[in-house]
Amino acid sequence: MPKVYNWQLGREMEYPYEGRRSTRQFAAVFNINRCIACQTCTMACKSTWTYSKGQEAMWWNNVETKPYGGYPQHWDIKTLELLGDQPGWDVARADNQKPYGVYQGETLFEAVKTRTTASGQQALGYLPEAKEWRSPNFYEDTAYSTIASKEGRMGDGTKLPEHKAWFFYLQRICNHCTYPACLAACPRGAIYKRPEDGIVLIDQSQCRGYRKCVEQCPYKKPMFNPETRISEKCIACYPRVEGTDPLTEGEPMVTRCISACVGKIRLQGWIDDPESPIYYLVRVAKVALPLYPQFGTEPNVYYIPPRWAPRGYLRQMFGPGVDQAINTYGKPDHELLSVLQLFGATQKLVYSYKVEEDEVIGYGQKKQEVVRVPIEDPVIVRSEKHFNVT
Amino acid sequence: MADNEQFENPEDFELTHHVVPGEPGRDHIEEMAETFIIEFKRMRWSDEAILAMFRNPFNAGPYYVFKERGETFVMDLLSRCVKSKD
Ligand code: SF4
Ligand code: SF4
Repeated sequence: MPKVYNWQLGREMEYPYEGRRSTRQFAAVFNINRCIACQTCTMACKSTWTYSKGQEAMWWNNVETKPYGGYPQHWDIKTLELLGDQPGWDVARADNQKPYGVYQGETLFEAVKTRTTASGQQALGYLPEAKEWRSPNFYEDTAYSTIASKEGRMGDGTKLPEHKAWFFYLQRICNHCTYPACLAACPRGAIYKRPEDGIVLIDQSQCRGYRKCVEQCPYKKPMFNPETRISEKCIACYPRVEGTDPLTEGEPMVTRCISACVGKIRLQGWIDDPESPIYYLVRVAKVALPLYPQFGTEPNVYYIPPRWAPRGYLRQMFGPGVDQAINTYGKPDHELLSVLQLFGATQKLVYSYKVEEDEVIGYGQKKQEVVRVPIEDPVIVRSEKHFNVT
Repeated sequence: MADNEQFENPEDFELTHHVVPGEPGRDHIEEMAETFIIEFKRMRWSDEAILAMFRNPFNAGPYYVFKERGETFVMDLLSRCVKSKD
């Protein structure tokens, strides 16, 4: 199997295809600290792309409540269980090229050989049962009122199963991975990664509904349509990214979920362009981290972890960069504070930015100004037991 | 078996879970509420707008705090955590 370089792991890894990076790589940062679980993003996506017959249980964007929630149910716990105990990370070897150190365990592409005897599988995975897809917010915000509760067997049927110690919301779309497991898994070669922007798509005319992508994508983002009998997934709103929406007159736009977000938690850009605010957040300030980097697909949606959740849980989810990310985010410098103001500030895609004393300016594809936002920071005086922001 | 038949078993809807404990000495929910306040203040929302956000059941996170800890808790946190320059 060819070797490819995965910077999130700080090492080479096995992947069924030669490593060929796209010219630009679609990426986004989601700031969990700001998400209030209004689900506007989910509905923006649904009303744009998945309102047809057969797409009822299809949520290309979903927001789930950790630790109980998951769509499909328990997707991450099940995949972590398949991967089993792994040695973890050598953080002493971290540097600018390997920001989280070197991952010493197996990825899903590597573990498929050591942890299963199944043949023809490229990445370790499982196929969720139909019932695991039944509700995007099962165990979360949906009150359960069933026959059992009417009979008094479930106690108070209107009481929500809340995890009272702590919880946070995890916003999920396809990660448009650099090394997609879905693409590796497809025996028909129906999944491709666009060289111009790294967006991963399923060719609907080639797919025969074998569901290998559903089985082997660790994030469970390809979904099977029982009506058309083929699989579908998030398309990163590629017509908007291409600039074909008449609203912006040819200027690339951010995706629907990103532009609709009430909490302004989302920012879209390019992970491999040093001028992009995304590159700054992930590679320079290091406040945004990949989701389960140990899976090995090099996912391209990055998260600013929630400040309030237990660190051990967050380290399992986002890797060893969690403590530094939370510390830096808790005491933002002028540049970080400025870039945070670009979140949700415009529907146009911000390619680069300039920070001034009291404003941050975002520039578009042709280096023209697309947004200007004031960087006014209120004086924050928090309770004594927590550090203060200013 | 048709897909929806298997959903009729009510046992499928029971929550099987165990608690993932928080860290000793931390009130994670209060920290979460503080974070929401600071984040929305940074976006220049007024105190009234932030309180309204906590009151709105469609905003699951802030509403949980409002429901569990009460309005006084949220208002107290608002005045304690954040003071605008103006
Ligand atoms: S998240 Fe899953 S569906 Fe999306 S590119 Fe990665 S492997 Fe493929
Ligand atoms: S729209 Fe934004 S704030 Fe609302 S649930 Fe989605 S990500 Fe969270």
